[in-house]
Amino acid sequence: MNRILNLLSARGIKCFQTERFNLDHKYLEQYEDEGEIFDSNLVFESEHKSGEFIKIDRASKDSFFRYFLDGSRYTYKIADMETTDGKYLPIVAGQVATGVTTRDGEKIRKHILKNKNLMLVSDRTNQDDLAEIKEEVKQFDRVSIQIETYNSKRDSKSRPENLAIARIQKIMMDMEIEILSEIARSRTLKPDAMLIIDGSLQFIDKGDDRLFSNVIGLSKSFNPNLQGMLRRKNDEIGVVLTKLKYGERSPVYKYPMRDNSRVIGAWYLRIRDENRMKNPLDGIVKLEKIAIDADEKDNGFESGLIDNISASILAERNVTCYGSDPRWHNHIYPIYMTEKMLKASFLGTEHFLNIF
Amino acid sequence: MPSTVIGKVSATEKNPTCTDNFIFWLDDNVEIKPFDIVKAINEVQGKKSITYAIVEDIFHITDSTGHLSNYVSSDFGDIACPPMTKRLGVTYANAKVIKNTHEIYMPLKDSTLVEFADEDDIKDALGLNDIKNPIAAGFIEGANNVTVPINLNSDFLIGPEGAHLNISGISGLATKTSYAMFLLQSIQQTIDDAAIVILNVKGDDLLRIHEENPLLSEKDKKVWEKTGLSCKPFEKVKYYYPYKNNKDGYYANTILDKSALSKQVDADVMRNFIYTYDHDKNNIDLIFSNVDDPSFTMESIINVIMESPEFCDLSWDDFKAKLGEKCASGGKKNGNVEIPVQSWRKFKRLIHKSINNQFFINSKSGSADRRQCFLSDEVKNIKKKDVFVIDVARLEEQLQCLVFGDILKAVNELKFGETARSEEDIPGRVIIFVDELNKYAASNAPKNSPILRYLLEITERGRSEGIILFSAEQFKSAIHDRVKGNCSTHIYGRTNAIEISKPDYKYIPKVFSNMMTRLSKGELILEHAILGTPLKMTFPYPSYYQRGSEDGE
Repeated sequence: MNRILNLLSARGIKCFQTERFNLDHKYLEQYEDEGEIFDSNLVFESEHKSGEFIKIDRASKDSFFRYFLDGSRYTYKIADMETTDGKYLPIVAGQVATGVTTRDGEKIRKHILKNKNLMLVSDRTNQDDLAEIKEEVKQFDRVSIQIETYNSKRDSKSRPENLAIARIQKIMMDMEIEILSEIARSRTLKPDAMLIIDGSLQFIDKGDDRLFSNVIGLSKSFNPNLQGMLRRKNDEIGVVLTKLKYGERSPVYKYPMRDNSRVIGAWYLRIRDENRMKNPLDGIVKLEKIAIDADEKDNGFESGLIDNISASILAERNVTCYGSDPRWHNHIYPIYMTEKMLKASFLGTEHFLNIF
Repeated sequence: MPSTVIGKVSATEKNPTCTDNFIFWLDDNVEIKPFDIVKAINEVQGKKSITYAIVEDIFHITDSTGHLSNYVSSDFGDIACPPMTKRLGVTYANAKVIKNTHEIYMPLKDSTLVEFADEDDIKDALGLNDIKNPIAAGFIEGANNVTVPINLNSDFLIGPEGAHLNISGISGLATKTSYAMFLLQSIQQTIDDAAIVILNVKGDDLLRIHEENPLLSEKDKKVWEKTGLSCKPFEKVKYYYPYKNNKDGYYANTILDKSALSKQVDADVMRNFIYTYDHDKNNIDLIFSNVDDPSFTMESIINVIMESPEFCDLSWDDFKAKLGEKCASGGKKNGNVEIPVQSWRKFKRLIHKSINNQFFINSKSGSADRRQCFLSDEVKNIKKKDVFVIDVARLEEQLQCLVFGDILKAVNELKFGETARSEEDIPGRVIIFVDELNKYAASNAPKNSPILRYLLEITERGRSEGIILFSAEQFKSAIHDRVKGNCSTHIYGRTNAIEISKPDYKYIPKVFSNMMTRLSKGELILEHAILGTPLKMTFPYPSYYQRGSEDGE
């Protein structure tokens, strides 16, 4: 058994070797907007109250977006452990990277990159032992490893591996917020130098709303089974969006966050010619923006702003990662590049697994 | 980061670095070219070695999986559609290691910085710093605006360690003659005991090499200075023309204009060469150099002519009459050798036109105006630093073979001690330059060709005797393997795609042989015995008078 697991064994934590494997492909993730509830009473923008789709200028050659933020993780099961209270739980390791790229002219360059290597053990591990192990791991000179715990008591219905992955995911999102705060403090973001976060904003529950003034969330996938959209309350959104044409967007829908006062406006935009797609929902992205001031929270966004943001996203449609990523139709290239940067920063799987 | 850093070594699973090669990716704003020399520090266990390498292929890749991806990325084929973001792309180059200092042969590690080599580095890389007996041979020019003069070790260019030079390339663009003349100029200025014999095979290109080139600019002269040579025409030049009974033309059968010829007469640097039966009967075989003689009938006849008493003490007119007798029906048989009349008739037909040339005369004239001489005698008397230019441009091919063979034979006799001259007086090295070598040493030349025999003798043994052949031709592939195989220096000018598909170019990296089809006028590729790699080079503008210098070659 290797070095880090030896530290556990030395404290009476029995570790059992297992086949070490990547967990990322084992568990199907939920839609990020699973269970999202729209406030169906109003179109959350200044115009287009009728709820019809809005045509966006496809010819725009400018984009407000200069920064692109993403997070990425690899998770692996590396061993099983026996707790002193008789539980048999997995030890999960993860590599997490979050970063921002910036577009300099027409080229994408690294702006910020942060990496963490994690090992997650059950929170049933003795706290004092854990503190000692953390101290000893800090002395490692080869690679920095952060020891964390996952809550193995809370949700008995979920497999413990999923609980560990959820914890890693949370750490990654915290890192994203950290980076976002860093950028916001440096006053880098401006209305003509905005940032796109890959994914939904609704999971980012930390941070002052003002951090998000010039931030858009772009989701490549969304739940097509959401209901309660405007006047067609019985139609699922997937059905509604099949009628969305290339270069059109939906009105902004409002959904308030359940846990805090944050208000998010979301809308859908088709960025690829529907006649060229295999599936009618291919080529549609979901965009989100956090309402910042009281007026926005109450009355929604200026339609002109949403149109301009949509035109910028449309302008981002080329070049594509066609052939490299099966989600190419819903992807924009700068985010794809950010993902590539993050993945390129990870240690090779063999290398990483042999640290433990 | 130092400004000379241009990229980093890239070692991957599929493309590892090795002792011989490495790949490096390039900074987006850097321009390099094939043949550029780069360097990288290789640090192994505290030992620092510099790895020098020459750039071969240069590639640009993107993350696009295929052309379809690029088509889709342009809004499914909309040519006018501009991309908001440029696709991720990188330019990378293959580099071939040419030297490691400190004898470290470990492959370069990933991410090692790669720099442009400066002038000192290039000299170090190519071993130009410690060249003994240097002979200026041109320049190499890097994409980083570095120009480095190349010197070759004379021991490896003109013997005794290595010798003979061959230049190939298509006419008009390859500047073969200009480069050979530059090298000969360099030799004349550097080597004291060398003599040069040049054959002028076309036009009057080489018939005014002792005159200055009026078209030389100050810039051209500075280029000469950089080589360490003086920008001046050839010295101690003598011109030899085929004799022609034409008083107005100074008895010379040449294309050279009269005023230039007149100056040569005034300066007493021209002679008209002749062939008399008595003096040159033994050279008759050279006229038949390119005649296919599978049944050796021509050879038999030549043997009879050389040995039989009935062919002794004749004039050319007597010889023709004698041939007429042999060709007559029922002509006499010769001793035990049966030579049919038909063969004599064929011999007569082949030689008849040749020996009607006016330089075949019955006896040498004593008139000073006619300036008659025997070429072989002149060559046997060549002095150190002399340059003999022999004009054969107006002679038909068989006669060109005769003259060239006569020269080779004379140089052989001179260098193999068959003259009365003392060793000290004889030039240590006699360099013979001939263009259109394919006429004399074609890959399909008759095996018993006497001129081929002389050329093989020179290229295989001449190195140690100081007989050096500088040759040129359009297509190297058309030259006899043993002749070109013995050359220590090969120069390639612009050539065509068919030529580079021939086996002669098999061992030249593909990118370099492809470059040969794109070389500009004045650019050549040098392959030399002591240089580890082919190099692209340039050389100064000719310093001697050329007809229409703007035509280059």
